Amino acid sequence: MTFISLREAENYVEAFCKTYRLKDDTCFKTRLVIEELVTNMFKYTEAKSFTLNIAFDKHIKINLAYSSDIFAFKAEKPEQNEVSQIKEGGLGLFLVESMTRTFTYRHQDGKSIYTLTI
Amino acid sequence: MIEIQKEKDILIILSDRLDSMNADETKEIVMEALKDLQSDIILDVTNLTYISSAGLQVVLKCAKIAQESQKECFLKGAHGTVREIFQVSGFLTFLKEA
Repeated sequence: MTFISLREAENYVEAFCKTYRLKDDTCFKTRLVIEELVTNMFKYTEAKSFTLNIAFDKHIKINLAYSSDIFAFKAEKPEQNEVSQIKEGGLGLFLVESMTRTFTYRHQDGKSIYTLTI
Repeated sequence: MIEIQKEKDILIILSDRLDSMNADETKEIVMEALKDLQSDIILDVTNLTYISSAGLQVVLKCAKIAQESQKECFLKGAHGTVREIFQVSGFLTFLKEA
């Protein structure tokens, strides 16, 4: 399915969770990883839309893709030093990686493609 | 949703969701409320059901303002997946739990 806003995707996730009667924790994590990836897309790329497909078969399987250049994928836990030294931002991909069982990124045919399981 | 109560400490009650949809607005409210900070901050997240990295930035801002003012920033009521988010992101290393 193709979406042009995060709100549309969230409505899709909400309906998906209700349909499959998923646990709150699973819905939380599904919504979180999609929010983080879509927010990054709008913030760092010129893409105006994205495709998102979610399937449920024992685990949640998410496929999200959008047009973009390839980028250096980085999902590292920010160093927690002194509070004043902690940079704002940069936690999104780390949370995605932390909240998923598997998380892969690939760039193919001008698209960034994420495949995740929760 | 955000509610702020100024008593002995400043109590910031965050509820429902804190994400990219409302984080900027919430951050502005928090920064206004924490001007000339004279007391400790308590962030009550008992009724917060969802937080993303955008929401964590609001919490980080509170912690930074507290430190700049030589005050403490406490976290109250974190549970379930919300607490897990605070934990994996490392925020529980600098937020004291009330």
